Amino acid sequence: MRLSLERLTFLIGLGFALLLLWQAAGLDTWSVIGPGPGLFPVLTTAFCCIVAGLLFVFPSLARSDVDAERAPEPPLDLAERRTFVIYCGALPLLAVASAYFGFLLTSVILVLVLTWLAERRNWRSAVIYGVLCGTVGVIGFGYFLGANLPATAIDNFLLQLVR
Amino acid sequence: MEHLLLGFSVVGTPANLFYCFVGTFLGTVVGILPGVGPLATIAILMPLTAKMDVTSALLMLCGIYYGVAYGGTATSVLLRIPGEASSVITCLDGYMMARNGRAGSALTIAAVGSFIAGTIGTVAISYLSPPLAKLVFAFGPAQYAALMLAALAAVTYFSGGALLKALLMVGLGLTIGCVGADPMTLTPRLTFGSLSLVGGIDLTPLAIGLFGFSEIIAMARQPVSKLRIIPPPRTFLGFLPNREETRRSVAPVARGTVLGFLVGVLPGGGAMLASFLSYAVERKVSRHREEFGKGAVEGLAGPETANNAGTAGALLPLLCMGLPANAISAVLLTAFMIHGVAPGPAMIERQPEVFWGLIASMYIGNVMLLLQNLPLIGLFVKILEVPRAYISPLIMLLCVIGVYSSGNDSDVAVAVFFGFLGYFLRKMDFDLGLLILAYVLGPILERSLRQALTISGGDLSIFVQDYLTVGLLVAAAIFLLLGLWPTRRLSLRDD
Repeated sequence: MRLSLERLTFLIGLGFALLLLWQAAGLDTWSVIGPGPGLFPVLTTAFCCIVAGLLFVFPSLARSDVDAERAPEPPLDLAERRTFVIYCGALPLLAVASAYFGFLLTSVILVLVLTWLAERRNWRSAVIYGVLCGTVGVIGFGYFLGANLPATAIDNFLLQLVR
Repeated sequence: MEHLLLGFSVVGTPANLFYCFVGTFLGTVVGILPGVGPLATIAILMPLTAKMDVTSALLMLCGIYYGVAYGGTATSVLLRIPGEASSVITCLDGYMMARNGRAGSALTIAAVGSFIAGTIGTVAISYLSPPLAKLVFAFGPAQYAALMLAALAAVTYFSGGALLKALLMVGLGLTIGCVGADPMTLTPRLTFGSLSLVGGIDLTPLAIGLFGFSEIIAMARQPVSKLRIIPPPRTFLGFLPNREETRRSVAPVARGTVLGFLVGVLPGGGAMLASFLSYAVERKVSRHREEFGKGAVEGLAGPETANNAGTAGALLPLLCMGLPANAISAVLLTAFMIHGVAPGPAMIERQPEVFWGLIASMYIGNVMLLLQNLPLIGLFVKILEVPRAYISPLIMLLCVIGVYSSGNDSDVAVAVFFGFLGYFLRKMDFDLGLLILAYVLGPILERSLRQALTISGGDLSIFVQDYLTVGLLVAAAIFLLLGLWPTRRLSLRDD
């Protein structure tokens, strides 16, 4: 049995579904007042296990004529791959930065990473664009629309200016 | 009629007109922009509208929903890039018309056809909603659970691609919907002991991750290419179709409206299926078959009309039965619930101002879209000239704002996780729209199932005790069996 990427995906799916089924199986499926909290999760996770298992054993069931008509993606050259990797890295960075640095600094960091590092634009314009995005975000969304944005001293200073 | 007048009086306030305008404007922009679709946009804006008046918020979010089809047309005609899935078919004849020097006519025929379809669709909703809503009163928990199962089976069938992959997405969506405290007993479920998961996984980070962040990663995977836009006419006269084009577009517009609405009402139908079917019908009945693919007016007018009628049609089951026909209307359903509005018969009875306000806003919104789209189309299309280097951080930051507005600080990490998962699932040709739809329908299905089993004392025969439940379950089985049929030609991903 050859382990193609497709098959590996279904295997991971099956493993994950089994893990969830194990979690769901620990819950009551029936209680004194009727169906318990575990009934529906057991049904859905068991369903996932069956479908993922079928797909793992018979991967040909995952193919359709629609998929066959799709052209494969062209390979990336070195520069394009670098851009792609930086974009992928920017997402976890975004999660960390927004938790610790507030919205304005996060904007500047994100724009620097994407615009300057990934897309190779001028760093000065990237900084200006980042500050602009951050300021509009904090004032426009944070102040006028009342969005609950992450805030540090810089963000609070900006908010004080418009209050 | 008096109900509709009530609706117009609700929408007629300056604030509501403004929000209706903002919604339709955003819808057009989103339809044009690659990288952020209507689903992600509604998910981003949904928490921001929490403090707004209910009617204003829903008018704006619905405006985005039906405005998208207009925006997608412009890029299909002028660039051969479908801004939205429902405009894919327009790339064939719409773009060829533009290349033949008829860009203005193509845009006008598409916009006027869309306007007619949207308006007639709205009229149909106005008249069909009350009787359909009364029918829903006949549904008990068993019938409702069967209806949800039939809807999920239909959506799975229409999703295109392999049936088992579609079913896996439905199963995953239903399972994600179970994560967190059980709504009846508050017992934590599928949390692996994590306290941060007890509150469940919110729709906003899930949708933003799957449809916002994953799209950004997909954009980064594509090489940057210079766009070649066919310029729209500069004068009003340049937008006017000639007599021959007008004559040839009348019948396709009429057929597209009826077909699109009927398809839109079906669970899993929606705008994309409507446009594809309309194109097939037009090619079959046209006297100018040889022109199809080379700029046939019928090949533009029919699908463009059908996709707007489909968009309107999909709102009928949502508003009358609380049953979303596709992923976007599933997100809209959540938006309704956030604002304390439960779509369905109760909404028409208890909150007529919201229901009829929405209906009236669709009439007004369609006029706004027509007025925005024809004169400003050149300006809208310029958005596409903004380089990826500036667009992508902006979209990411908007996504972060949307996630933070939904309330939980750790949700950005959840959204990032689903962003990577979504990108991987897209690459493996899974339909993410099904996941969202199942996630939204899951709690409703579970509640109905548990209520039915509580009533029957655990006796499963409650699901075969009346013709309606049996009929719906048989329909679900038929859809699943049809899904195993090997030759399904269309990819119908309406996300």
